[in-house]
Amino acid sequence: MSQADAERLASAANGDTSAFDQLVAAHAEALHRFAHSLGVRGADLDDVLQDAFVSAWRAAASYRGDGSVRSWLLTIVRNAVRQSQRRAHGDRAHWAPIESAETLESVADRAGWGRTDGGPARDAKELVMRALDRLAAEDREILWLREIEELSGEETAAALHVTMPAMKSRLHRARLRLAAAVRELERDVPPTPEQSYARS
Amino acid sequence: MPDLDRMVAGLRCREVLADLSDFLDGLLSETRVAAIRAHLAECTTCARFGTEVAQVLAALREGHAEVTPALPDDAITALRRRVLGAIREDADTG
Repeated sequence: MSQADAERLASAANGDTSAFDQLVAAHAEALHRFAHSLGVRGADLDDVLQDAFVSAWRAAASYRGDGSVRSWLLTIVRNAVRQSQRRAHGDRAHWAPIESAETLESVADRAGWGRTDGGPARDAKELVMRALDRLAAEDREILWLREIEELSGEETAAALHVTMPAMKSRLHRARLRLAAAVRELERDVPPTPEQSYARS
Repeated sequence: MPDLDRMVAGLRCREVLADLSDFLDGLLSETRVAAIRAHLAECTTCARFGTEVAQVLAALREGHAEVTPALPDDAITALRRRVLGAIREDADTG
């Protein structure tokens, strides 16, 4: 896929719209999911994806092959989402840096470090995805790129325009904040009859 | 909350917490991994917490496809048509 993608992109850089169309078909689903995870919905989602693909078309010749075409496209979508949300909301707070807002200890505390009451047990996948939605956009994007898209550390750092140490620090905190959000959701949700029975 | 400065098998819990992501990602040296494993073998607090975070991440990796709405085929077709129209126009004017 990756080599074929690079060849399609090289053809697109030479004006081959058909090759570019194949790239769109191959990656539309994943890019749609990523933009959706960043909170883009409805017609805005269509516009963001179209804007991102047109940007990719125009920038095709600039692709250097440092990372996969997929990571390159995800970076473009991420930038398009930010532009769109800033246009709509002038929304600095939404994307404000969050690293300094909370110490590692306090995140770990919220995530349950030192507690003995167990982790996510019931409907863990659904619970974790709802927890992801509770996080700030900066946490969601790095978790999506690393855990779901499985970009390398270098690709993720490049996509986020940060250094490797900064990416690792941000990823670590995002993971702990996700675990914390799961715990917070667990507290909000009443136990199932089976769990109530098991705890009694 | 238990003491993060508690020393177990030569490492403080604080150090293990700081290295948790790199440990899960396999980015640490063999020496460091051995030291953390020795800590985890004796520290149920860190072992439990590391397991819990790993479970959350596994659920995230497995859960996204089930929970995130898929893009219907007709939506992909419509997107391709829109993008093709835009880039052909772009190619004509560029």
